[in-house]
Amino acid sequence: MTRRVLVTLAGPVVSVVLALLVTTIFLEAGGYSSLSAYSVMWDYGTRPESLVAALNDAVPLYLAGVASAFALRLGLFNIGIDGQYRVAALSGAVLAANLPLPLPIRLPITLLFSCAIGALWALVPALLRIYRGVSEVITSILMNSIATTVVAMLLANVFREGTGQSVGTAIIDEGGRMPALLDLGLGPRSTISGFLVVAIVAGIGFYLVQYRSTFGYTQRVAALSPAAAESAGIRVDRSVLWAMLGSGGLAGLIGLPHILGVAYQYDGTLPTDLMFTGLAAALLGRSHPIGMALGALVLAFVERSSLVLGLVKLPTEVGSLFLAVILISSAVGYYLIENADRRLALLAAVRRLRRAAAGTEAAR
Amino acid sequence: MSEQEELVRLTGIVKRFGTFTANDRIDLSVRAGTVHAIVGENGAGKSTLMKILAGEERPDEGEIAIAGEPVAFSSPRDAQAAGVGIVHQHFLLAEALRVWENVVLADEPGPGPVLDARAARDRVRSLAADSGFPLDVDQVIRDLGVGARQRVEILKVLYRDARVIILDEPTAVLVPTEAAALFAAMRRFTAAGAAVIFISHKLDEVLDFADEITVIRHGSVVGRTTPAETDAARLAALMVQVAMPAVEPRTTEISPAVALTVEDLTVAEAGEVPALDRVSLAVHGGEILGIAGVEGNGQSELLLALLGRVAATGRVLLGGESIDALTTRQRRERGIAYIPEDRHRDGLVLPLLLRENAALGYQHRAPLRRGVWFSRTAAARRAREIIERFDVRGGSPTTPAASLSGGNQQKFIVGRELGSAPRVLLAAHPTRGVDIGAQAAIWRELVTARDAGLGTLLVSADLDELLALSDRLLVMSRGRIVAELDPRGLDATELGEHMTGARGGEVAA
Amino acid sequence: MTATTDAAAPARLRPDVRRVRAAVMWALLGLGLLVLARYLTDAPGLTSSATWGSALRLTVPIAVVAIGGLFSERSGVINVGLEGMMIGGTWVAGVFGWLWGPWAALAGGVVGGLVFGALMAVLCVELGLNQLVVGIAINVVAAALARFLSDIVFTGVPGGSIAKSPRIAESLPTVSAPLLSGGFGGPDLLRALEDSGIPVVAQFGGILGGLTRDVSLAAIIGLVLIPLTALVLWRTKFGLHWRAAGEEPAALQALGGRVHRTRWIAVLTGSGLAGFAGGYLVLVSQSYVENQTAGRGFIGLATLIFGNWMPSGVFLGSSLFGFSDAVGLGRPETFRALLFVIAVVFVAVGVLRLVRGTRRTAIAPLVLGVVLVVVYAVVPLPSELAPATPYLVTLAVLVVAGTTMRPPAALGRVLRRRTPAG
Repeated sequence: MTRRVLVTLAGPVVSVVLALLVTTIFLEAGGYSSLSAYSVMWDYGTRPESLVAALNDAVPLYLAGVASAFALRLGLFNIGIDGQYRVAALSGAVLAANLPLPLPIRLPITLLFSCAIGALWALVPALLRIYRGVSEVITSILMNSIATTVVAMLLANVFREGTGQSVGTAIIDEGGRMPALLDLGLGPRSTISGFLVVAIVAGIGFYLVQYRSTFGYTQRVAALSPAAAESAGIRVDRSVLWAMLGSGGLAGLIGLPHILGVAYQYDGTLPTDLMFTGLAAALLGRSHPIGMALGALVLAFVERSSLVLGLVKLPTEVGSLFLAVILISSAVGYYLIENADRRLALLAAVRRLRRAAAGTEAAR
Repeated sequence: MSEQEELVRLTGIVKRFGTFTANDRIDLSVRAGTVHAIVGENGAGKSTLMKILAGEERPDEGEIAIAGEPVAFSSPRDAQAAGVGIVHQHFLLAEALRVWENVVLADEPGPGPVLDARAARDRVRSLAADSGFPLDVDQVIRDLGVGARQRVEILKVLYRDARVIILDEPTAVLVPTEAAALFAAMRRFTAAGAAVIFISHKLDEVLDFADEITVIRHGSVVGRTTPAETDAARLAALMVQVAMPAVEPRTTEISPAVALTVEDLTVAEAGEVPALDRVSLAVHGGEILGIAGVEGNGQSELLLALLGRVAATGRVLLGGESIDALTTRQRRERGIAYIPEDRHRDGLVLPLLLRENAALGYQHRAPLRRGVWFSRTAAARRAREIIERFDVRGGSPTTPAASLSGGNQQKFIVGRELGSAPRVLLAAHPTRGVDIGAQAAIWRELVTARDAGLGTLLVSADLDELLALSDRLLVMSRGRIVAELDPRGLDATELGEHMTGARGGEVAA
Repeated sequence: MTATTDAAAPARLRPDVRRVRAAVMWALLGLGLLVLARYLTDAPGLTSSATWGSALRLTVPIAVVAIGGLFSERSGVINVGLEGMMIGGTWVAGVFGWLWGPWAALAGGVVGGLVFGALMAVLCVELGLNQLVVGIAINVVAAALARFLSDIVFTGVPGGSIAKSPRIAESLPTVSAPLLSGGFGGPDLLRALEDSGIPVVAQFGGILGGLTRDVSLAAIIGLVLIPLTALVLWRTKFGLHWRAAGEEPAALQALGGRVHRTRWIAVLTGSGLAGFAGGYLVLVSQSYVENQTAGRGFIGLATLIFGNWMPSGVFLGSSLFGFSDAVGLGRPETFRALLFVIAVVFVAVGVLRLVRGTRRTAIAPLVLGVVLVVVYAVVPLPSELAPATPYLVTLAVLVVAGTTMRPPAALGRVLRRRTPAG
């Protein structure tokens, strides 16, 4: 039992260490002092306001991770999260700004609406895969590009508020904004967003659905053996559909922390790389709800603390470099650990066989 | 080169996997121009020995000599260069490539980097013709049946000028007449001076076609003989400690109630020859209805259609109720159980734990399902029941299915399906690749369930199994039922003739 | 003609007369349709040399990167990292081009792609890591590195910044067809035809003229790669090993072929090509510009799948894409005219399927065709939608063509490296 816990933890740890190593090499090669970069990052990053900010940043990352993981559990890659969350964010922004209902009603409706839009955007690749056998990778990629154009078009022609330079939807009033969860009173930017609750709920929901429900069981079977699943009465095409819809629905939430908690409108400030960072969190956390939370926190911390580097003439790309390497190193890290694990498991199996053989010999 | 030259000599071969000894000081001698059979139970070490001879494994101790020359193979290619070729039980063919491409792969004719396709095709074509089975070399493997694919595998070996041809369970998927054709081809090769070694556990085949027999048990040679000096019973006794399973004559009656009715079941793609062509049959409670036939003649489609996995037209009634419109899940819920022919692909999810595999197919039923939740405890209990009742060894509810041996995996599946108290059991090759002990156990369970009133549709390529277990026997050929036979008093050769159409006639069943 | 496009070798080894005739017939039909549409919808841009020249320029990078993907995927290694390899290509091309001129830029592109190709080969072929993850990681790494290294190398250099390399001094020479398009200072017959205004003749002149005038040498090299790849795939020993590695690597290994070496070569070649495509982009813009690839690596992947992993399919797909892209960038009525053309094609396909009796598959194209006709006639499409044209077109074609695709059977499967005999 302890071996399993160690193995599960070892993966992410090795990944982070590897990422640090590679980033250090690049920094040094570029003529920068990695040590000073890291110490500056650490000093800045561990300040209370930075930690709070990192926590808030981790929320959309976690949501993106959970969205990716929902599909990953079936072995599917929802590479369309990129387009899904942007379209859903736009829709959420417009709805929140225009729905004349009080906060306790408007907020949940906005969240559900964005989920629905995200799921709808994911429906196209899902249906094409089920009914036409077209790879969901390619259709998702196309949908992402279409999303960019559609959002730009809608923003420019239909939902635009304000004139001149600023391109954005209508500003959301108090009745549509996500309230703060906790104000630490440490300064102007030390409020923990209420979206933390949403993230926690999403995580719990993910756990329950994937690990405890019958649906989760059917997903596990379908992922590991579609043929056995079909013989067992599990329809794999339905599984694919639900996995993609669930993933898309969760993806719909990704942009909302920014829309409903920071910018209060859809404009050019919505981060565009959340899918990749979310995927990194999913991989780091091995698609496990708690692991992904830790992964998201680590990644958010690194991104946040790297912001300060510009001030000291160090490249801010350290953050994105770290993220990029984490993606690779998490895969390598698991390879190393899994190999060791596999060797141990093989030894255990051989030991069992030998005992069994000795048993039958004795019985003869 | 004299006819009696010793072509292969293995001396003191030892091979260990961890602490398990697969081959324990094995000696083998095969002369040119002879057919040598190696027999033994599953896991006895036959395949390992042949893999060593073919260069796929390296022995821990011992020597190999080909035509008197000592050799050491570090790869299959070395063995091929020495003239040794092996045809595996599971073919290694690229489905999307053509016959000639598969045959010449890695030894292509042509100057430099250029592939001389014409030369390749010509060479393969003439090789096939000379070996007695002309073949369209441009066909894509995907379109070929099992027998044809095996011929391609043989061509691969011949193309590389093999003098020693090893066949691993070559007739596992062939019927007696096809097997005879194969051995006739082998005779042609030995007449030309080659040596053929084949692994089998079909004793009558061995006695009919081999010149010499080596019996292996638990990694050692326990007997060397010839067909003239022995018989099936003695061979079997050498192979195993346990006698072949025998089935008692039945004491219970077949119920007059029909458990499963099938009328005009057809599985067809538009414009193609139907895989299943207006099949009709009826299975009574307490009866085992056997389906015999060369593989690929519709048997798999029949079971899949009954299970609801494949679209079909026609009528299927379960105990009088129509189930045509029902999904697989609904049919299972109504009481159809299924033992699949490929346990690794359809019957179990190997990486999952046994308790999770115990729920496979039953995950929507109480007590395994409580509301929307999957009950781990109920599943573990289920697994434990199956393990105890059906004597599954080597695992517990919390070990993965992959940790069980083939026979135990099959026992687990049989236990799971029978344990759900079904009304109809669809069983496909229930003891394929399973050791004698497990086979006996499974046969016992099938008979017990039969006596308790279960109606079973049994598809099998094991003629002994069909003859031992069936109350009635149907023969399928080209998607149709072509004969209904009484298994009592029938022998394997007769049955084989029906299966390949040598005895004509269709039966409106 | 077979309905399923098989990954296996074509039955006839020489292009047989029937096939050539069929291809010519389809081409003429297509051209006829375009001419008709041009007059029916009054959209001269549909057949103008400007559009077609632009289409050629836009097709090349997609085609080359897709072929790069083909190399990798045909050997069994999924490559979603094409975008990253392309980015690597653009960056190194920017550096080399700035320092040593346009030919060096192309070489630099290849080098940039190779770097990431080597990374993918090590991680996927040697270590057997999840290929999708590695591909995505390469995309992210390449983008981050490009920025990081630009900061170090380009900032502070005149004309350079973190997002852009200094301008490349010259550009590669272009050629035009002699006699027909003004090549080598001669007469430009096709231009004359185009300007004549005579129906059919003018369109002919426009289309051919656009395709043969001022074509960059890099474009020619890029396009030649397609038949070259087909040659390697079907006519060389390596090609057979390559296909076998992607279909059933165990078979190749059992016969003594070197699966891992084959995959290494395939992945490296593919990445070099993706980098070359990046270099081409740099030559078009005369410098490295951040985000220059604009998702083309992904579109190349889509083209590869759309083309059923065949060089001919890739050519068709990337041409379709390039043409749609060119139309999208052009005038609005050309865009609408393209809609019209596609609508007609879809309706025709739908009718054909109805006639043939496969009714279910006729629904999709018919519905789409009718919808498109309605949209064309009634809806005033905003110009912002134009950039989405190629994606929408590809998606529509996928819906209609759908299930006849067959990827290499062993795509994504890892083969454990065989240690010497056990």
